Amino acid sequence: MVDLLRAAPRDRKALAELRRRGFAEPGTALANLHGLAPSPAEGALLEPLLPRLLTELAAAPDPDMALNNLERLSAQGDRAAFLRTLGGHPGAIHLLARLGGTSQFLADTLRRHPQLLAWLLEPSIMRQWFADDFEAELTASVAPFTRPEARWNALRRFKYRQLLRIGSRDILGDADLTVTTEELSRLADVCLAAACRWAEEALEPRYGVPTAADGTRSGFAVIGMGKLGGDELNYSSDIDLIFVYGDDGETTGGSEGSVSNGRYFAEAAKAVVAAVESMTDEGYAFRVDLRLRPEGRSGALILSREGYRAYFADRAELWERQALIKARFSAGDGAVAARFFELVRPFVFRPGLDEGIVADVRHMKQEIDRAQRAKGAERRNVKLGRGGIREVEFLAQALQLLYAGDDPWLRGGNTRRTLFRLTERGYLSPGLGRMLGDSLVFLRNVEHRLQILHEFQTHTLPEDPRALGLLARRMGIALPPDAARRRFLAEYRRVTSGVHAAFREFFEARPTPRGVTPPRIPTFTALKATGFADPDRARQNLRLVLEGRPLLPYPARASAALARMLPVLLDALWQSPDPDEALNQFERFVSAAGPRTAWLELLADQPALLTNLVRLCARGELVTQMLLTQPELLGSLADPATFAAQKSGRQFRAALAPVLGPMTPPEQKDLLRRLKGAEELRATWRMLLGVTDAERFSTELTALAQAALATAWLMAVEGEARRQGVPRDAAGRFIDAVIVGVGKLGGRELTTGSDLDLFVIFDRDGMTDGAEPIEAAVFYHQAVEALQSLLGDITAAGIVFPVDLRLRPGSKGSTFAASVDSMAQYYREWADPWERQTLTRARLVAGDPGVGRRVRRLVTELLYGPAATAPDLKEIRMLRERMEKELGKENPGLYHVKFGRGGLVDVEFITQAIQLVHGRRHPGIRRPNTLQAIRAIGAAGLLSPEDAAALGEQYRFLRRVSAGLRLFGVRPSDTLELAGPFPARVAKSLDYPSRTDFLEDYRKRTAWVRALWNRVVPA
Amino acid sequence: MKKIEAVIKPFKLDDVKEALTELGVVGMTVTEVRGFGRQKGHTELYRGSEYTIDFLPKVKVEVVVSDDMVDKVVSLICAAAKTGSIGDGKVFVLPMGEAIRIRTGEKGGAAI
Repeated sequence: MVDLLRAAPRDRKALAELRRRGFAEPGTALANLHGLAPSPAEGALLEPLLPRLLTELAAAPDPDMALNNLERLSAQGDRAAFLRTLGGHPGAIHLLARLGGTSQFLADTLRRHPQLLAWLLEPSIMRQWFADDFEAELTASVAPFTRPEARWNALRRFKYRQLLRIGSRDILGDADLTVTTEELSRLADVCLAAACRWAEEALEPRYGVPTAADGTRSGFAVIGMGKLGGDELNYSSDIDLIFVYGDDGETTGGSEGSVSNGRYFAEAAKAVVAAVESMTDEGYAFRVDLRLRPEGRSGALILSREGYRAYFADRAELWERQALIKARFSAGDGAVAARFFELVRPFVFRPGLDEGIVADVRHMKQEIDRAQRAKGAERRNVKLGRGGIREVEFLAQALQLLYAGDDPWLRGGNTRRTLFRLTERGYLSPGLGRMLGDSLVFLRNVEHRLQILHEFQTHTLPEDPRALGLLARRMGIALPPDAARRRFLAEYRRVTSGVHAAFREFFEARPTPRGVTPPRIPTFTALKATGFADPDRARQNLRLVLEGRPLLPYPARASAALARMLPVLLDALWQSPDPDEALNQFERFVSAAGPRTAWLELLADQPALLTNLVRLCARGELVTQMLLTQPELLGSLADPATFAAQKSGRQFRAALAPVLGPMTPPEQKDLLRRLKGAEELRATWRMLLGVTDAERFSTELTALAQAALATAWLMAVEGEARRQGVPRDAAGRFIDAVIVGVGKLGGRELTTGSDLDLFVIFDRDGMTDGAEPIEAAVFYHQAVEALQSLLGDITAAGIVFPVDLRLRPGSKGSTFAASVDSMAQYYREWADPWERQTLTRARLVAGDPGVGRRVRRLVTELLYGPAATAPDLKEIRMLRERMEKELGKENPGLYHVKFGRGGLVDVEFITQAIQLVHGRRHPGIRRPNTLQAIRAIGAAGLLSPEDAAALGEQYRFLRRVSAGLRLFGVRPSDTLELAGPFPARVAKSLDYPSRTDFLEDYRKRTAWVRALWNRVVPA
Repeated sequence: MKKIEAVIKPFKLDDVKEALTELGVVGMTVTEVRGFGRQKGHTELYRGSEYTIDFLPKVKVEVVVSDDMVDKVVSLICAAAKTGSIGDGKVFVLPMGEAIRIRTGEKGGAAI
């Protein structure tokens, strides 16, 4: 090999070697290499790294830029130290080559703050951060400062640091587009939240507290719009904001007297914008765009809720409704935002179908097209061009405006999630939904990779062939620039043509179906007489069933089958306990089944099958949902008897066993999902038909989950052992492990859609006996990752169970598996009291019984060694209060069955508090299952027999409400919105005479639970 | 007069610098250093690759202040450099024999 470090600047061999390695300007590259190590001492450090360095640089999208940035970074400080870091840290060269070869602006950011390199190389930093992580770090970073400019500087340093971290993970492929844009959006949220706090801190001494007419404090909120609202923020996005304050009134007065709330909050909004937008020594945090506010540029910076109400009432236009789809609470006073959205919702989402929307949206897009044609950028503009991002967004938003009035699940600002939900609910056919979703991801990635280079807000593909080739390489096409460019352009054309075809089809007038005359739909009066509460809606549904939805025209055979089944359908609906809901669900089922004509023919031919299906439809959307992912199960609905017997763990294991046969990993994954889906559908059906009750349903579902866990764990450990060898201790003995279930899994309380909370503990430290030995901790860490993917990945066949590892012993950055000793050490030395509390529901669910016994002894000792003291109870109470405030978020119009006052968590915490205080002397009450624990607590006399019985009764009631809401597909789960249709439907499914009776009972029972909570864990 | 030496995480340097400036400390000496405390020896997992923690890059900030400023400066450095995780660093306070400004020959408090 040529000695590059000692070659003369124009050495032909050296230059040829560098050209061969992909450098477009070998002369500069050679000079840069020499610049990295100007002295012999530095050369000696660089030499051993050179092969790896050149390979990594060649793999970077732009090798020349990567090397240039590396050299400039090395000049920022001590070169020898820099080279030692490159050699000593396994991730340094890779990170710097990719970062510097992909993004000039991130490389510049790092060059300006070279001391951030060490931070980026810390393992605990390079993971996904959530809102509370950002919040904690920002709070700590600004804490030493009080002067506004000093705070602004700290905020900007925080922002650039996070931008580098997020960008690095993006470029390294550790975070996909969804995670990256979500993190960027959270970052903006917490910066705005800090700015809001500072604004109020500065204004209150001057003007006093802004109050409403009734004397209560009035606050303000920042509403995120556009990309911020949709959690789709890019590196270079402006943030679109509007501001709202609660009530008009006056401030209580301060050093500068009293002013109107309007003026106070206008200053607050101005201060917030200044805090993030002002240019200081450290740059700016975000550029703010306020043009989406009422009246745009000429409008007031902030309006009260009343102001918005008046504006919406008479002036707002369609584009404003469309923009508000993406509105989301970003920062400030959450209660003000919640009340603002109560006002926005009916304005944006109107009940019933308004087909004029389609024409209006089409008109808007035509305007944009005209503007684009004028600029000559029709094809090359990723955002606004033909088949670009805007067409996908408009399509999704038109469907939201059409259907989200009746279906709240469709509301939300994130376009990708919206497409997914539209498909899930059957408003888009599965093929079309997937195509649009994939296209959106592709186009957004292009946009992202265009902008990551210089942080310019560009949306146009470069014309220069080399620049386009480098863009293609930034997109991850690992080919030389020319070939990469050709591959990329072919893909870009394919995607944009697909999107544009779908867009045109949707917004063009719908063709009338040929050949079949649709049958007549019964009249309003007829439907009312047969028991429909909402005959208008029913007629609309019937029309959709028979004619299809926009975008989903039926094949002629499907229309014929539907016409044939109408009489049986009407008869079945008429017999159903809830004809309205049954028809809603049936419509969903049919529209999603639309392309699969065979199903519809099957239904038309078998009246008994149709009748059973309609009966199940009346029980909410869950069953239809399951059937849509498991079409092959439809046939078995004809004979309910085959489903009747409850199954044991052993039977479930046998049912899942085929997964262990010889097949490829993806086939295995899909099969596991299908087999589990079939079993879950059967178990659910047994409950719906009354064969089992809610408690036994949970037992059954837990048994199914454990069977799936055992199967997947076997596969995961075997897979790891094949690759890495088997972990053994110093004496050569195999190191076994155990899975500990906590939460609902531990308590055998799983319901539909529950996560599996669990962690993995292995016996003791050791190494694997493979060719390249690794530590047992790493072996099991990787096995847990494999387990998580086997169970939790969403494939075309759905999901087995989401696995949640957050309750594991260890902090967020720690590995996924711990040894028995390190688990003991963690809980003794570092764990918060609430982490100990989660162990009350710990139960061994799979793995080796020997290790299991050690873990169980440890858990018993941790929980029931010393009894909980008064300060422990105080901690528990504080945690409960936080959960209620941050997760429950109840208000007079919204109950939270789980986290709300007197909700499920109250019952669980009452039980756990008693267990922690008395478990030491009463071993009988140490039970992970809440109901069993409550019974034991009653039997031990720790609650009066009446209280224990009533507590169990309230718990069962709350679980029934929660299960009912899940069956109806209410999201977010466990919320009960009083204004919505769900109280009435839950009331009906729980056999209450009326909605009011149900709600009264709910209030009475939760008040009882809350009173007991206050007695057991007093403030 | 005391000398305060703070060995901190490099990424906290700008926060510490700004905090000291806010307090009116005008001069400081900054050195890139490498060292270890209690983290040494254990292995970490960075994006799937294992490596052994040896010397870690740190930054050493040195300032000389009058006795009445010591407590304030130390607590401010601690606040600005703290992340709460292992490896946040250390602050040392040393007695100071004499300080001389080279250009003018001024001594003691006048020289800092």
